[in-house]
Amino acid sequence: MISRVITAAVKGMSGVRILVEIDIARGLPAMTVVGLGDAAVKESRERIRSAVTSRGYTFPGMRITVNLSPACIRKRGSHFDLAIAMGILSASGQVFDRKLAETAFIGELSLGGDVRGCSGILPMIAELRKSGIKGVVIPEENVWEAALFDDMDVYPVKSLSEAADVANLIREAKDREPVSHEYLCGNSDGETADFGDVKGQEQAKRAITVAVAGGHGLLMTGSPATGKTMLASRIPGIMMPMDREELMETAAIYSAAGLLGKNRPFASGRPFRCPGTAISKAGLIGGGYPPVPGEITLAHRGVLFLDEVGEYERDVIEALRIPLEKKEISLIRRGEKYVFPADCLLVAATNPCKCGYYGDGTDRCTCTEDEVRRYRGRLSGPVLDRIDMHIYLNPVNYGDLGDKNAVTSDMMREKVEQAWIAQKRRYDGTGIRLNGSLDEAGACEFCSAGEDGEELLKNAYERLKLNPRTLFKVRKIARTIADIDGAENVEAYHVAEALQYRERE
Amino acid sequence: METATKCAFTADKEFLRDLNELATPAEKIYYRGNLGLLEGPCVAVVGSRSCTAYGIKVAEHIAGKLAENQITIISGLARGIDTVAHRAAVDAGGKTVGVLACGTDICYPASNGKLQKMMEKNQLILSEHPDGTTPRPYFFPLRNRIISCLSDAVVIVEAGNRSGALITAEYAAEQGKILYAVPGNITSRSSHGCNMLIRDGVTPLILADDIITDLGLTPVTEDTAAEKSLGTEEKIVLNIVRKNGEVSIEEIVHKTNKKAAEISGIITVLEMKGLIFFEMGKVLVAKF
Repeated sequence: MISRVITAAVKGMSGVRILVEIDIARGLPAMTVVGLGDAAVKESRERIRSAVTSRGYTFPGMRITVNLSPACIRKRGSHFDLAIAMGILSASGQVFDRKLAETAFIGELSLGGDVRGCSGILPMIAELRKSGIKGVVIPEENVWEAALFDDMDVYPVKSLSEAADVANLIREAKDREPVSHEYLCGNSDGETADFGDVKGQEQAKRAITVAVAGGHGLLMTGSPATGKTMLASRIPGIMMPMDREELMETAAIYSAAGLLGKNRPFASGRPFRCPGTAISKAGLIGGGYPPVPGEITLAHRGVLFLDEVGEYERDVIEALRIPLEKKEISLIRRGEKYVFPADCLLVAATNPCKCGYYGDGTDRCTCTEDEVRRYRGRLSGPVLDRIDMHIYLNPVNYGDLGDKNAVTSDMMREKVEQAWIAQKRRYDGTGIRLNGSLDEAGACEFCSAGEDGEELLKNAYERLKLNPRTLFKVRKIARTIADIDGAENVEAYHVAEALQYRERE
Repeated sequence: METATKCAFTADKEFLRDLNELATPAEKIYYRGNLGLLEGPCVAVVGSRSCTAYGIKVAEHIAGKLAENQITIISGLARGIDTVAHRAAVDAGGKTVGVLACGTDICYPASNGKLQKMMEKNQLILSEHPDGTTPRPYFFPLRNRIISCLSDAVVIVEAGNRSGALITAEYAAEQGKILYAVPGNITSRSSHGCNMLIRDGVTPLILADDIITDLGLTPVTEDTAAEKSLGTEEKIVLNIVRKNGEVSIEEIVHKTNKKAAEISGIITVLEMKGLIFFEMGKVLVAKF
């Protein structure tokens, strides 16, 4: 007799629907699992045998063949246990099979028959929902990962017997209150500190508002203790809250990476990733087998902050170039292609020189002119291409520390919001989200300034010795400043401000 | 194509004769380029190799201005102030002479190779050492006596406590040349040497035009049209920068009570008019 149970697997960041077929035939007692499962899948038979018997069911003493279909996709993980066990119970007539056609089973079994949590639940459910499945049986531990799917029946279970009860129609789907968007977006404000705490860096804050509003990469140069890290860590707080789709995307990434847990509900605001300078290429862009998302993917829809950007290995930084441009990263592993999303705002910080004090107005800097030049040279090239805005931070005066009029996150977010709405309207249907991702042709189409503005750009190009690339970046920044201003056209004073954020020789 | 090195006896030429009469005379000089550049008025602009943004700007300003007034700029083709002075003179379409502490076929420091090659074609480089002589530490102080000897006036732009530029100043005083030192903040270590010279009685250089008038020439009048065209707000910002010399955008925001965005725009306009410049997060005056 053959039974079929639906489950799912994770491939990269996305789920794949898997059908488990179980055939119980006469023959010597044996259990074989076919369908490209890894060691954890093969070992499942030992867990299942114990789990089934210790919960009082009978493990059929016959020849059992388990097929995971489609059989050509590599499958890994222990979450197939529950589906296989349910298939065996169904094929041997110990549970009803009517419910099995529309309900998927996901979970790992213990020898005692308990259902244990596993990673990647979210992308799996998302895929199952897409393929028309109505209900999912998942480990109790992972229940809140299903919170977003309020149109599905979710059955959180703690043991194999509870899963069997679902199949036998004894156990009802758990009634859940529809989750509010606010709950999902969580306390992003509470977690991210406020820009109002940063005193005396109003110009930097303005630049950050522009960078976030237009998705422009930002490089902050400044001596230690000028507030670079402090500023960067507050950036997620001024981005607009994620919409449902974005929440799903980021949650799927964190779920697949196994980084979701009770302590980190996926609904905790936009990601802020700050990898250390010793990070490897694989750690930054993802790698290994099966591929694990790197920091750039974990920063998707949020901020990737590279502190001391000159201290990273050069080829590690170099690897960022393509993903930052394409906003996704593809890895080929064992003949399969994995695509991870990587749409993040790049924020980098650096000291002006090796010792960190060059140009801070004191005599502390001990670097020679050559050392300073060499230090700056380390930054040139690939990353700088991806960075539109450059700002310098100066040490803060004591008098500014008590500044009552410091711009706060709320004020900045308001501007960002206005700019994002304007851009959404303008780029509707073009696939572009923010000004920062415009290419040269796009910049010509959308960012041309008025007569005065063009005149200013022309003069600036000649007098300030700009190069074409800088000019292109200035155009994009000016467009963003106009969007913040709520202006339809780019005016001369937008261009004038944008020029202050250019890269200087 | 390599330019050939030529040799001249200092006793033969009127404008080189002083070299022959030094305490340590230079009887022969080896040169590449146009020796005629030394015939007109010459001013040495020298300073420290490790210089600050202030030093660079001042050197640029002085050398540029003098070069515009047809005065030859002499310096030592070293890193820092020397390089800036040579370049500013070239950029202003003027004349400049590099005095080396090695053979004229050797580039030291190598980072100035391009500048040196360009100067031996269009300008002049010279040395008392024949080709193939590599630089030795003690050649440098000796080279400085030639710099001051060839010049009518010597300007020390920026010099720390032990800067080689101070040796040039000493030679200049011995040889009876007009000597100027550019004053700096008394808190700046990079200007300490210069400030000490001023304490000891050297003329502080406040206006580049002073050098020109001291040499008995009339300075070409400067075009102040750029400044006249400024709006009120721009003038306010410019005055703040002038008053402080070196100021961050943050401080301007604070002093004017305007938005950072607005100040950034004004700074760009002033920058384009060439009145101020921006270095490491600080706004500095470009014309003074």
